[in-house]
Amino acid sequence: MHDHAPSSFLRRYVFSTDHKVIGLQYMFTGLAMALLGGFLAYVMRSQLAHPGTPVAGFGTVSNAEYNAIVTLHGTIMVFWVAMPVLVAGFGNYLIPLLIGTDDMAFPKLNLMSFWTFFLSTVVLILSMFVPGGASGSGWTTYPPLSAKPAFTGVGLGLDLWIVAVALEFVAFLMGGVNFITTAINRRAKGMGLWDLPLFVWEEVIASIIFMLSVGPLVAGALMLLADRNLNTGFFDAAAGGDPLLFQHLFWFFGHPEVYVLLLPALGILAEVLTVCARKAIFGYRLIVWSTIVAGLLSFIVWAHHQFISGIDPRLASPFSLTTILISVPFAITLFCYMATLYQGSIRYTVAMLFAMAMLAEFLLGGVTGIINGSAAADIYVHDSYFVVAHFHYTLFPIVFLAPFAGFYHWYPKFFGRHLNHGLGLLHFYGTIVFFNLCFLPMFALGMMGHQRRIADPNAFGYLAHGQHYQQLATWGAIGLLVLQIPFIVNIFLSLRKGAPAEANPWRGTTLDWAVPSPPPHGNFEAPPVCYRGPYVYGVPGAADDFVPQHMPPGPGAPTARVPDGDAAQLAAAGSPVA
Amino acid sequence: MLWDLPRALSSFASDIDRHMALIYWICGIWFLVAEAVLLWLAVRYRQSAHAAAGWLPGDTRSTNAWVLVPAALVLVCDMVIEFDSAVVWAKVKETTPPAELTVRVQGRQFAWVFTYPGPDAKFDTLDDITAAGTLRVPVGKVVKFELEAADVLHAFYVPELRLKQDAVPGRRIPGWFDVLQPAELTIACAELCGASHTYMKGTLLALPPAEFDQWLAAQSAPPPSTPPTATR
Amino acid sequence: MAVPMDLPDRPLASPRARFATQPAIPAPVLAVALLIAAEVMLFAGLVAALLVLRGKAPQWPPPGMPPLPVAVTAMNTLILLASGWTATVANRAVRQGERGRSSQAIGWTLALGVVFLGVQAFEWARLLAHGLRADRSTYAAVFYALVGAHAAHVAGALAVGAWVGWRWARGRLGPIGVRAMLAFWYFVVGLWPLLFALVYLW
Repeated sequence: MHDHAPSSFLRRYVFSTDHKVIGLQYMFTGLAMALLGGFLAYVMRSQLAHPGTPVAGFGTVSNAEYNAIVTLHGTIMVFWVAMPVLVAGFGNYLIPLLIGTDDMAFPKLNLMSFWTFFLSTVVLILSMFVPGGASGSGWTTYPPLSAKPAFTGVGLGLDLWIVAVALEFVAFLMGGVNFITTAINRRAKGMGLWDLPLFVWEEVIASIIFMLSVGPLVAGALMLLADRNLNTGFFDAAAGGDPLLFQHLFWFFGHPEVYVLLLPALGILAEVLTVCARKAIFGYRLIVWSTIVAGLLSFIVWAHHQFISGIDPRLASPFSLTTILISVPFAITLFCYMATLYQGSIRYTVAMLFAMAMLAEFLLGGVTGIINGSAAADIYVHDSYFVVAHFHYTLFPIVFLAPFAGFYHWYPKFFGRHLNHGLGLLHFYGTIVFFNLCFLPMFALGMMGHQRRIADPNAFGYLAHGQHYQQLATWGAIGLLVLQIPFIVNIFLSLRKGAPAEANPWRGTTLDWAVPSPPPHGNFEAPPVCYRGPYVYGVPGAADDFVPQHMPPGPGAPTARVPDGDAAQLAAAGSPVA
Repeated sequence: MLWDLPRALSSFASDIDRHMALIYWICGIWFLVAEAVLLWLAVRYRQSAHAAAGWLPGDTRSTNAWVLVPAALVLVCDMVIEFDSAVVWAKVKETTPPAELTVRVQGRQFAWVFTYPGPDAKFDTLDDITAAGTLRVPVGKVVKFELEAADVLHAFYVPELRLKQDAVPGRRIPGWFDVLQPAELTIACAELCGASHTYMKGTLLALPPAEFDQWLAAQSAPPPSTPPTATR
Repeated sequence: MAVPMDLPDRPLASPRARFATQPAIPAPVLAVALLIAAEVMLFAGLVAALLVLRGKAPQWPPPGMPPLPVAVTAMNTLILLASGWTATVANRAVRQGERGRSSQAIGWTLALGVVFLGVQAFEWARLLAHGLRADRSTYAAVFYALVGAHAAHVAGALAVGAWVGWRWARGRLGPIGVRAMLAFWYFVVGLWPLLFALVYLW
């Protein structure tokens, strides 16, 4: 297998077609962008805590700059952190390993995908340094504000922003095609769809949702570019256009996009929870079907972002209904995850701590979503800090806590060494404490009536008594950022100093643990054969408390397909302990 | 949380607050129960307390019920919330009570402009009264508004009235509110509208009806004295 | 969009082939099918724009806009449909392993595609001269957006088709790559009558 591994450094680590290298490239690009997004958050929070005071490391924040920072923070965190890390990073690295193949279906397409993404990153960063400044129209770029440079004074910066986002979509389209094709066509012998680890299911469903929702937004982005540069009037009411058209196209993508991010996070969680609780996932098929239903529902909820945007008020209640209904499939999934812990034997690795925290924090994000989803309550909370708090309670667990769980879990696989446990604990407790300190006060600010995207809360009398919440949140944000230092130190320190990891340090069942750590080029010495479902832990009659998917049936490895049978049947069929 | 809400000064503000309280209660109980169960599982089934895990794939009908029954309860709660939401929404946004006064509200970068129809009760006539920055309305009377935007999106937002509505260029969006007691409130813009979005503010003055009528009459009265040069 | 299509046709001795399972749909064809699904949604977005803008306009087409060349474009539609037929011929020949005959049919398909684009370009030039400019009305803008997006897809399909066809004719590419390319061509052909009806006839 090693004979065809590329030998030159450039082909091996830079322009590599190896899914593992590309996955790590995506992850570390995302990490670098997260630092940029975090710095922007620091500037934003400092400005809000002490409006008008120069921010250390940035200077005085002008109104236009504040808008640009809000815009870029959101854009970067969603499109340049969440997407590359959750979808492309973990997806690329893990899908071929989990399904027991050597690489993606289209390795060259994968290479093109990453470098298109990299180009989009360059264009986005460039957009901050052109005359006129970076886009200040919010990550939603609603026209007319975004449609004419005269409204914001931003010229090329916003054009480049649109181009960057469009390029990024092209990159993830290539990635999505690859993920789905790979998962369908390149599974190991014996691995049926119901033997796929949940992470693969979630990535595939997320990719399908992405591919089916992104088209309308690309159409909207093209029309917006035309409005800006060719003087067309797609979104210009005076020319016969309609500003709300863009909102529909945006949110038709924008809301499914939330699930594009959530599903891979839930996938990571499924893998970490089962390994660390030594338990089969509870209700495997129930989770898959719920996810599919949620994916379908996600296409008919978009207008809940627009209850008060000027759409026909009679549309609000139907969309409110679909929005609130989507809580049911996700409730099923979360209940299944909780039931997975029942009768488990939980090993609290740092990964497991992050996974449990993700569940706990995401719950708050989920229940507060009901307030936003109710059309009547939305009249008050729309575009307020309540929304900001809500989506940070959903997105921070999705975009950071779940990937942290995944990163601590698979770091031994990535690099063949363990991360330092102490630094990991420091990182975990610091992150959780300061995250809550940062975002809990925002619920209160939202209830006070604090609207989003304002640079100076002191301008409003009704927010005067909320300024101490503002400052608390800022200390939370600063603490949250500082407590990422142990993580970054840990990553690089452990590359050299970490304890060596064997192939299967956590005693997992899935095929990613059947290969050496780190896996060689081509992954598997010989194509693996899959004999059973992915989560066979604690089966009565087995030799050990886990039975890997690739272990041939025999003494100590009961029956080929476990998730289909019940325990009694298994005990009867399984051979006695070898 | 709910106690952080500003005063409720419109006749629908209390409906919205009550609806939010309903959601707080339902979701709050769910949240606390779920967190408690999670915490119990986390502690009870830690490795040192439970050395050997059980086999429980949850793939039979009877075990699926463990999650499907709570999920059905979620659905029931959803329906309660959604029903209440639809009722409140219909009151605030889908119906307009008979109005005493109609005002045109226009958002523009970065100010609010208000137009009263004047004595002829018709807009776009010579006797229209235009006021920038301050919207005066009579206390206790239903005020109908027609919301417009001159340039970009804005949102007409008065926290104490629980009133929020986007203004969209090319559309005239109808709505209504009332103010239950004399007050001076801030009108804010709740939709990002450009560099000075933060400072796009106006004032809502709710005056006793008599005082309001007096003000309105003064606006439409001819100038108090004709200049002396007019006599010849 | 260029999709590397060389993969499943590699000789079985390559190390990758050991992992290949026997999929119901060959990977390149599946990939193109997924791409088409995404493209359908892109055009759905543009068609939604057409419906919304048309719904808002008091008169459609607005006064002062030149009439669209319906007759010429109807002929052009037939040309594109003919390329769909030659593509079918090519597809059948590819399946039967007749490299020469299929290459010829691919050539005809591409040639008809070039004619279609040529006629479109000619008509666009005439329309622009008659004042159908995108900055003058949403009618013109959405016309160019829809028809232009389709034309861009035809152009892209032609470029990929030429590359794939050439490699196939030279024996450097297996049949699956050609079938994937032709699948995308069917999409480009099949979409057009719908757009023609929506934009020109309705």
